[in-house]
Amino acid sequence: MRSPEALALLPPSVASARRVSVNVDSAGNRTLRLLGLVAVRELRLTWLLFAKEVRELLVSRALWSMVLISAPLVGFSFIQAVRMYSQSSSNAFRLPQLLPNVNPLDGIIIPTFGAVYLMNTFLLPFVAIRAIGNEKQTGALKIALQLPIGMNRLVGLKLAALAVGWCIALAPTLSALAIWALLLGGHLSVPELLTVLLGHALYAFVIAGVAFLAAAITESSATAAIVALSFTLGSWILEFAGSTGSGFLRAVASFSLSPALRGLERGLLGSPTALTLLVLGLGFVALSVVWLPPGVSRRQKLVRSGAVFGVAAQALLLVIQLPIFADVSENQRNSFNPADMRELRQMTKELKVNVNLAANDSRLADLDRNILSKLPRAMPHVTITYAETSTTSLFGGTSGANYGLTTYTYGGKQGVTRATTAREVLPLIEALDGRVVTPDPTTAYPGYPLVTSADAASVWFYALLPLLAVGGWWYSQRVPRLPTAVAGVPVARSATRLPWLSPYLPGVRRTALAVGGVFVAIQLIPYGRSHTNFAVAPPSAGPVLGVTDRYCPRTFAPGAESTMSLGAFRTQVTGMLGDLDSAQQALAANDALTLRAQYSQLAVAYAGVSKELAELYPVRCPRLLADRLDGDAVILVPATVNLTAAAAPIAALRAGLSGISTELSSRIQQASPDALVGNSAQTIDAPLVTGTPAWDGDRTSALAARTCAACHSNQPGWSWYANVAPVSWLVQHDVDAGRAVLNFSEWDRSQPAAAQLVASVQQGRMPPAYAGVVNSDLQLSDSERAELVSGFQTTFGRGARADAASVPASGSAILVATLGTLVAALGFALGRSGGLRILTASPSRTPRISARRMMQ
Amino acid sequence: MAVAAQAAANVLLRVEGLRKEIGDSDILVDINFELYKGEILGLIGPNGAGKTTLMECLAGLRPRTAGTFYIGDDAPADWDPKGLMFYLPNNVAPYAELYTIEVLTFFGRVYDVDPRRWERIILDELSLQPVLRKRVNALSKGNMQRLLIALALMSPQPLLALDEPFDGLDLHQTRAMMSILRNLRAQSRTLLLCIHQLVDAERICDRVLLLSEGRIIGVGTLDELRAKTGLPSGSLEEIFLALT
Repeated sequence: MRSPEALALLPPSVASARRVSVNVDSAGNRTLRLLGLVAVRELRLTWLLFAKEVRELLVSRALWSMVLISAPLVGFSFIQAVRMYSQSSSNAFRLPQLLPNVNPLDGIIIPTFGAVYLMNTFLLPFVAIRAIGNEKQTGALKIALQLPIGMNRLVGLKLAALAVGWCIALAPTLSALAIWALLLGGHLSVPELLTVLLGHALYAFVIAGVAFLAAAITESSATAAIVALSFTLGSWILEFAGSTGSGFLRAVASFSLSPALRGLERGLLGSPTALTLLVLGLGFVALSVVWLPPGVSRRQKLVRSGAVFGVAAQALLLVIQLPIFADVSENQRNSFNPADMRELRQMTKELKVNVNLAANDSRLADLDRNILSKLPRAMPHVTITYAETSTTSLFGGTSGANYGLTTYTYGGKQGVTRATTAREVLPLIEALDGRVVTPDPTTAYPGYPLVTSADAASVWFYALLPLLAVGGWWYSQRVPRLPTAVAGVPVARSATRLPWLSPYLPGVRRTALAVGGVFVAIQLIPYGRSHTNFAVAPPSAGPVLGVTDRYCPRTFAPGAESTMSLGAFRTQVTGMLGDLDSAQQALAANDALTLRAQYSQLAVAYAGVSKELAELYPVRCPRLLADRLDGDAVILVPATVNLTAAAAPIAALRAGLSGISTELSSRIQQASPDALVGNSAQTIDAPLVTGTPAWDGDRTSALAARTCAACHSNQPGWSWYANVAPVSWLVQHDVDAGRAVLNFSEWDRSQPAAAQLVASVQQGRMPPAYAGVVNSDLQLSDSERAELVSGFQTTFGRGARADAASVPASGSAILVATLGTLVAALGFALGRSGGLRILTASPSRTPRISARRMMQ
Repeated sequence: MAVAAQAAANVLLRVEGLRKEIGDSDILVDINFELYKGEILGLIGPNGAGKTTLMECLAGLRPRTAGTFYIGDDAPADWDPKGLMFYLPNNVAPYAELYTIEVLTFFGRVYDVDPRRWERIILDELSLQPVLRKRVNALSKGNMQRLLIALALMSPQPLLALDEPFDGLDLHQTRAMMSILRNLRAQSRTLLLCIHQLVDAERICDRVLLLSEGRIIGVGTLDELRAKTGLPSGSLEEIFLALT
């Protein structure tokens, strides 16, 4: 039994708990009550210490310096990234096969987070070291160790406060992504973004742990900084050595920090990667807890460190043994086709891969990215070895006959290939086990091209954000309010320059906050974000749906692909265009017989290339098929050709095939006329333009592009303000309504408003007058209007359908009126209920703060 | 025996065989003493005698090479004196970038100090009102010392160990501080003071422990030390010189 003195020496947290009144309560109830009081007390202590740590961080220069430096870093990375992304998008518009490469993850998110990587590596250590090193040097640690709080909690709360600081320092990066998504109209995949954020958070956690440990084991902050940076540089050297070395070095280098981060950046959320970083971070923090207390002997610290190493090693082994992966990338770049994944998982024997490529050979990077990085996740047992390719080796070198070959051995069978793509290698591997796998149909990744500029954001990153950082530091330097009892004589406030404004300042402040909050909140509403990112889709309704699978299959079994060359395919398409031109001439001459004959010729030629159309153009194939069905229904099926109804499907078919012909020409430029269609079909058909009108001249095309394309095409080209709600809602509404009835980018389908096009422009209904207020380019002068009308009359003539769906001329006006009515009604309701009083309340005096309230 | 038993019951802390080595150097050798409840024990000695090392070993801020600490009859194997003592080091400037009021508020909340007592410490006992709006790193040495003493006064532990509590204080402030420390003793708190100035130690301490080169050369009241050294009216300085 403890002596009274010892009992009296319980930690103050328990000793200061309120006395429990002695009554008939059971011992159990009293114990529970006491435990509850203790828990409340401990939570309160934890909060007090956390608040103190955060406050110390906010008043220090270190954190705000980090924000100040990272703002222009992030800004430069982001603006450059948008510039290059726009360039890639422009190229992709001209060469649609490049569209899948226009990926916001690679083009925007990763480059922007590159600045976060630099911040984590070079700036965060100093902020972290300060949290511990400062206390050691000033003696605050000796006092902190005597507080009724354990070392674990002390270090944990410092880490938590550092996390708060890190989140503040992330503001420039998050603002960059907000600009991209909300102002520029760019696409952002939330799972991809969260995975990248997780990767950098875990990396920062490891760096913080290293910094804490360095501060704990060294005597000065300067030495700690050297130790921490040495660790990071050592990791970089290890990674570099692994990239140029082989075997053991490569294996060890795979455990360095950057490869782990890179995996997460690529959208691969894997337990070995994420949990390894987590274990490393926890291990370093645990070691800092072991080494920080000065009152523990070195021998004890070494013993405890050994225990930490042991636990961490066990945890790492466990993590490696139980790998769980999720490919969160939108284009599923980290995974094979689901059918291949299923089959490979069933191949339970060991697959040995021997790679005969030098470390600096770019083909190795391709092979690694396309095959080797994915195979271990697909198959249960994979061993990858790298043949000796050093030029100093007797049997190696890059000039041997076997150089470039990769050997796959499974179940006693072997396959050898120089190929580096999944399309070629996986059938070889699967064939070793006697399997033939037909890929599953998957949703094509469309790519998200966007031609825009973020140069205007340089003001934000180079001027406003740094000013905000300075402002944040300045604001945190304010003297806190003193309790009335200890405040003494109040400090006289200096007179304001505008005394008449003072009574209204609190109300103005509240109003500004409310309006600002609402403004930010409405930016998060998804509506209004899809007028810049647009991908043409196959038809979602109509009779074509019943025959799409038959005439436009999405997958082809290996060996069943087309063997037609690109050149031959283009010749067939050119022939079909000629047939359609002849059909249009016959239509103009009211010659039904010739029309039917030409159209029949087209149908025969179409049947001859239907496989090629399906293989190369999976999105356009159903659209063409729908036009064919419409055409067949009015030209081939009835006894008498419906000349009036024949014009639209012929025009649509012509526009669609013309687009395909243009795309084929660019493919042939990139490959060759002899390249086979079957080998060319890896790219994805996700065009923005599937057919355009055959303009009578450049002038008409230019005027239409300038004044009509904003709402009647798939390349609207709105400026950044069109992405700011509520303007974006109006723009989205007009664009959706405009595209639905007339779309100059999808001339391969029916255009309900084409018949009224001339009248709308002639009578001044189009373009709408309010559009010119938003953008002066959308206005037409009188002479331009006359030119455009004449051009439309020449271009379309009989080409447009007569069935009518008129564009609501005042669509946006109705929307504005509706919104305005809603706002007025809301204001009326708030006013009646007194809710607006909060915005106009008279200024109150500064509240008196008592010491009792200060102590609570 | 009854007196001895009563004396034993009054022992708050007993140190036996404390030894501290750093490398080949003996910093503390065979330190044995008792600390009685409600007394002010002065730790006296020249620079390098081991006073701070002794205090830090007691506070658990330095590992000891050998020795046992007793709280009553218990000798905890894992020495954790958080509940026993609050040690205020010398020459520290903690929480340098915070304001004085923030530090005082933080400690007041951590130790659940009664608001009236908190005000009394700040306004009456240590007169910190003029510097509440100043940052800690802008305080003069004397104001810093008063701030640190305020933190120590807020702590609830029965034993206060103060390293050079009068360092940086002028004459009036020193006398005021002595009055505060005597009040603490009157409230049954025990004080262990590491004092450089023998004159101040004579005025405030009930007993003194004389250290020289890591060893205790004398411990007891002034009268007991006078008797030991044969200096019936000798000052503490004369006694110390006689013992060394």
